[in-house]
Amino acid sequence: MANSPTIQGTIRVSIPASVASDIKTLKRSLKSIAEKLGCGKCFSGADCFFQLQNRYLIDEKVLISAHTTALSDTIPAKTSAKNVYVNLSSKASYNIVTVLASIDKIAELSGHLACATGCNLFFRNFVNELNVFDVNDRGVVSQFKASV
Amino acid sequence: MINIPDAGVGITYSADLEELILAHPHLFPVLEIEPQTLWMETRKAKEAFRVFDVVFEKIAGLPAKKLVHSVGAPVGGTVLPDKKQFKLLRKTIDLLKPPYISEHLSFNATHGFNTGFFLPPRQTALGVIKAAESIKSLQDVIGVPLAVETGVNYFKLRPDEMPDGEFVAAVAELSGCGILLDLHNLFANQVNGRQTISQFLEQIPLEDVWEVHLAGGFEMDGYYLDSHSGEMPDELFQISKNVIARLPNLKAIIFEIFPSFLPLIGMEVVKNEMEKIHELWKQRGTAIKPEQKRERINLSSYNLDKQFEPDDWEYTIGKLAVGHSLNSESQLGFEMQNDPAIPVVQKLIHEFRASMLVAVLPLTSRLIILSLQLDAFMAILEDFWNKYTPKLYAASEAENFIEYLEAMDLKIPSLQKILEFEKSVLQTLLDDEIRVVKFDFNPFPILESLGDGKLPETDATFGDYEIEITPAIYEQLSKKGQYDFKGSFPFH
Repeated sequence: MANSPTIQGTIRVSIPASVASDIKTLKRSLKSIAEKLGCGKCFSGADCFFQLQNRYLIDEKVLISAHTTALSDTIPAKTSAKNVYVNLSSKASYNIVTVLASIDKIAELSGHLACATGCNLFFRNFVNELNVFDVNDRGVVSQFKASV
Repeated sequence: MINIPDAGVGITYSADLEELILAHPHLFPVLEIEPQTLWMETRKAKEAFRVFDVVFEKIAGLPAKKLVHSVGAPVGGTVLPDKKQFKLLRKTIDLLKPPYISEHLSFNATHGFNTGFFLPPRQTALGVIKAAESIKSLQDVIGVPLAVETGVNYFKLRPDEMPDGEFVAAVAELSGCGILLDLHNLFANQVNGRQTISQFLEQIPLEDVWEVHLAGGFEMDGYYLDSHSGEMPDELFQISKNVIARLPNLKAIIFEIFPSFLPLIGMEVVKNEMEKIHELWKQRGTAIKPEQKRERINLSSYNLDKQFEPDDWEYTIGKLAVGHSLNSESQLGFEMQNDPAIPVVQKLIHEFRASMLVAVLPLTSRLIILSLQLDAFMAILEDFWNKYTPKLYAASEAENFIEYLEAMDLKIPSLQKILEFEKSVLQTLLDDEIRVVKFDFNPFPILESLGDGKLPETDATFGDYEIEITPAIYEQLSKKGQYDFKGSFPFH
């Protein structure tokens, strides 16, 4: 890990499981926060976060807006005057897009893969999305040498 | 004769098809729902499955008749349909109001483990009796008639088996169930050298066929697969014309397409196939031959059960299919391990199992693949498959893989935390409990990089970070009644 300045205080981001379980919506959410906080490219965190004192809401279109009321306080973050909360949640104006997207994810999670007597391409598609060999060629893998 | 109203032409429902269905409702007057694909297994005694009511309510509201095709309570084996599913099946039937439901004349579990794949039943007189018992146990609770689907069978026909058609006919006669004639399965069996479609049809009571399934497939390792991967073969379409014309009580024809293949084939292919199936529907019952008195199948004439009983068959085939070793003294195992279809079935099961894991744990899977290369990930999966038998639901399969990875303790930077994050997400989806995952580094760069399918280009920075996982928003919406489909669909 880089020996960068340690953040004083805890940063908590709240994410609904339905957003976090879908790689596309999770990605859009992270990008959305990063852009709002003015650190879109690296999203390294600390400096940007500490300029803010609000919680943030992101709706189903992953649009971010300032919000001052907690959505969930059931598990408090570490006490710190500098705590910053960012909430990813839908509050109002839900539409069909959210629900339709969720159904895809539910089908994946249930995984009872319907008439399972043939071939499922999901795994192959998943692998094809990754440019594995390109990464290996760049030697990045050497940094992540694992002991199996 | 059971009086069942006509349903019509339809497709196996998946959310990926919804736009097409809504744009061309005349092509999709029927949607066939596979309810278990919308359930999540919780492993809790009290609530074995998690169901999002909002999803079923939305499907119920779609402008089409609904049929229910169960894919989790097969009735071809000695393991009776899972009682834990009955309540939800009834609820699905009450909501969608199908005139009948269908299930598979196959097995996917033995008395010791799940196979994660539909496998062919023991086709003997005792196998018929066991299947009929299983059908009765399901019929007793569902409250609507039941049809059984004719299965694909990649194994060679054994000399101690009843022919496929006779087996199905005997089961239908003994149980009083209907028949879901999956012509693509029969086509696969024909291409793979098992039994021709015409031989099969000669052996079954055509008046008991309520539904036909059609689909496309492809060849792999010398076998034609029931992969539901796109266009039906032209030869199958021509055969179907003749077969459908001979069915006097056909109530529905359903096109099956597996969502994974939709990006490859495109929606236009689906639309074309539906138009062809509407042509077939017009042919139904137009060439019915004069009724010939069929003799009931006399089970006592099949003295075939001397060697291998159905549960022995299921255990042996199941073990071979999931790639686990058998007792060396197993005569059936010795015979079946030489069947050339065994490696093919093993490969298909592995594809399904791998697909389930990467669907539930995409970030963990990406991190391992990107860090260790694909070959190493495959080796990890092989080891996992050797140690754990399949689960029928992806959430449970993923929980096993999480347990396996936690014990393995791979030394990949950030892996344990990414795994903990995805485990928490899964658990919250299942139980609605809020969870907090604590990090001593900034997790967002790696999450974002993995989302993009690559490793982070810079090392993580230290700091105290927490990600709080809150309950799924669609469940909240359901409870609060804040979702509104009105105006989203043309017929509401």
